[in-house]
Amino acid sequence: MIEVKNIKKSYGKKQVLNGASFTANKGEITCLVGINGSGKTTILNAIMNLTPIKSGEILIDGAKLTKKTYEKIAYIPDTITMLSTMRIEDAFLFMQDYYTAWNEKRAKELLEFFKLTKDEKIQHLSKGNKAKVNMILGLALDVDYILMDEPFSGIDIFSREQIADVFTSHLIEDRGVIITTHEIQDIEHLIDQVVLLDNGIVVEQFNAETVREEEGKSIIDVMREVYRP
Amino acid sequence: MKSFLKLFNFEFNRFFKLYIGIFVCMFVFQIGGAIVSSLLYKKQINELVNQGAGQNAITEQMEPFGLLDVTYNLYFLGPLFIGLISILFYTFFIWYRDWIGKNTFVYRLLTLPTSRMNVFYAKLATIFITGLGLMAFQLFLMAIQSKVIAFIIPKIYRSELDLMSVVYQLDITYMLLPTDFTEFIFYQFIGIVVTVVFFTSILIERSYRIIGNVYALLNIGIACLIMLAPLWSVTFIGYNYFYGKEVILLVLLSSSIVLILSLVLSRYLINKKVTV
Repeated sequence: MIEVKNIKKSYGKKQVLNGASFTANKGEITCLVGINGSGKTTILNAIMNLTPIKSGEILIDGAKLTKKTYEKIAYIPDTITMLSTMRIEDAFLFMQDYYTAWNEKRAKELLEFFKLTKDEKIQHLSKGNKAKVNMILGLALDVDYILMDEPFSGIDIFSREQIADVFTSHLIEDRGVIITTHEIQDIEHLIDQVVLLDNGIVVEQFNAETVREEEGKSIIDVMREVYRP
Repeated sequence: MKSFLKLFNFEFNRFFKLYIGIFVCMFVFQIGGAIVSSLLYKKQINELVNQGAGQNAITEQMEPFGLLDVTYNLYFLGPLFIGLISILFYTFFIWYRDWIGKNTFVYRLLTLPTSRMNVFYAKLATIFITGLGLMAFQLFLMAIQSKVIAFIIPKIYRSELDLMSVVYQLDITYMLLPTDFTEFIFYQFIGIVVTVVFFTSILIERSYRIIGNVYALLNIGIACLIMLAPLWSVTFIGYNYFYGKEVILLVLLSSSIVLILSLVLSRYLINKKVTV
């Protein structure tokens, strides 16, 4: 379980996170929702210790993040995290070199799934294909948790469908996923937990299925109530 | 250790193309310059011979030609400075290339399942080894230049200064390639300390951004003050209280303090403060 406890963070005088708290369970897809600047990406960066927090605590399976934690949690930011001069196979080799959790078989499987070839240079790929390679670099790690920041941003509808298909496949099964997205309709039916952020705090966390069954509301209905009361 | 070596190899390969470019530039200009200068000198001798001048008259009229004449030229010093400035520039670029613009490779570097200081040491080792390599290549080029001169200019018109004497006479090459091993180690150590201070300043800027620029400059200023404290003391006391060797030992001591403090600060920043 990933526990985010009362974290605060500011950039200069601007308070980005103002005591945000939520939990994300293994085997569930947790979606962070909020308008631009609500602190979604900052939370993911903070979980990965890529930006310092002023106060609060982040625990992964009950422990603070160490270098070994990077073998059990993968981060897929909204831009590719490999050198653009690399070929896809070089990127795979790099991952294999540093991560014992790297699963080459799964990487090849994903490459086939996304209809990409390993000898393509990253800098020559379209934005959508770069996003797919970025996703492979995260999904091919045998980790317990995956963080995804805006995986659908600026990508054509067919690529979006392909990426969304990943969520229903065995590639995600049993893992804990935290995802931020504006294109919630693409994966609304797949989301387990929803965390609504506003002004750096969590205004609501709910189980999508429960709300759907008990209140007959979709995620977007709840968002409307929160963001446009 | 394994992760460090892998990262060092990776960082070195990233610089390799530019590095080879520097070597090619140095080779072409320095060797080309040595050939052209030697041929021009030889042409002057031939003209005097054609005018009927004897060997003695020529040696009286013209200064002997040697490696030192080649090294006091733009085609020699220019590429060497370009090489040194490139490495100095790369000391900054080696960090910022992972951060600036659309480059987000720093996300990957900072989330590798290894100590983040390995990234720091790998970049440091890259700068150190490339600097050392540049000096070795310069020495190699000077040896070739000597051969080129010997091949073109008849022995009687050549100055007989050997390679190391030339190195000793040129300020820039002497500083890079001191003939005394202890001095060599001293300069290398100071070079490492200066690079570490630069790296720490970059991490300060990457951690605190705009105000970080001020902190980074302060860091460099304080490091300079501490490192050069033994030299300042001469100014304050008013006379040379210490022997030359004692001053060097004190500079070594003050530099070691700066090195340790910088590494501790860098470790803290890269683990706790740096922002992607």
